[in-house]
Amino acid sequence: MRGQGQQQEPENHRISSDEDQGLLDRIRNEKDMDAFEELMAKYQDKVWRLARGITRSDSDAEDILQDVFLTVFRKLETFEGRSTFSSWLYRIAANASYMKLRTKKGMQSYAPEDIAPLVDKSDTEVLSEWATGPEETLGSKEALDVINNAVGKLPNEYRVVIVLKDVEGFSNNEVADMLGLTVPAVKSRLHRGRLFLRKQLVNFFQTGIKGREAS
Amino acid sequence: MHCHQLQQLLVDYIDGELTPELTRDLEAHLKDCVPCHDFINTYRATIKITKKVEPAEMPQELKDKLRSFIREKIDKEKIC
Repeated sequence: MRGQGQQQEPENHRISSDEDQGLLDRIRNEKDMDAFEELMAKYQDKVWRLARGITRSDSDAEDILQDVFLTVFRKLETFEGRSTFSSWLYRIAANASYMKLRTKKGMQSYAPEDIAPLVDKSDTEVLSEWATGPEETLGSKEALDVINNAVGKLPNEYRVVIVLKDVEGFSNNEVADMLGLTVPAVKSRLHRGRLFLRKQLVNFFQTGIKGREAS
Repeated sequence: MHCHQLQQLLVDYIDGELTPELTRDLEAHLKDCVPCHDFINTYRATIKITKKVEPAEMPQELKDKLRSFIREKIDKEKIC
């Protein structure tokens, strides 16, 4: 049974598998390229967003997008339908994005050990009103810029989990499956990633409040 | 429940995956512990803002490029 902390699960990646099956049959049986293009048109935005979110690079996302759809076409015969086509596709996309990151080690700003000591509740004692304040505060362009930059600074292993779970809305089980991790490992990375992001927001809002107090 | 235990349960709590007993214990702790209460509010708000990160739109030009790329590659493979 679920408790009161329940969070509504986003549905944006749950797409009709029957419709996909029809397209897959046409591709397999009739080598129908139009059907493949239809499938590509349906999923390309999501794959691109996912790849871009993880790699933070337009050109890397473009490479991944091409690799993913080429891989899908070549391996379609091996897709047995044990999962939905979309899960299979996103697994390929998430893996390709993660692999790309691992080949570009120079880009990360923080090592995982650098972001360990982040649980500091003293920072919330006085200055936590932003978290329960009006929607405009949370959705302000400045706050979004802070979070966007902070996501980019996350160590790769945390960023990939944050993007898949908190940005794209996959479940912990799906993320674990995509990345070949255990669910507890996903939860641990998710928590640490969120703590890092939270810290950046706390710093941002504290600076703003102190600035206003000083002026 | 102690503050450090709450930290370990946060992900499951936010996802609504804690048992009813643990949820009750955690929420009882939140009522009595102002720092934890404030902490969880900022933690939730962080997730909320992260969800708002503007999804980049895939440019039409890139869609066209992808289509041509795949067509070309597959045609080549058919010939070989």
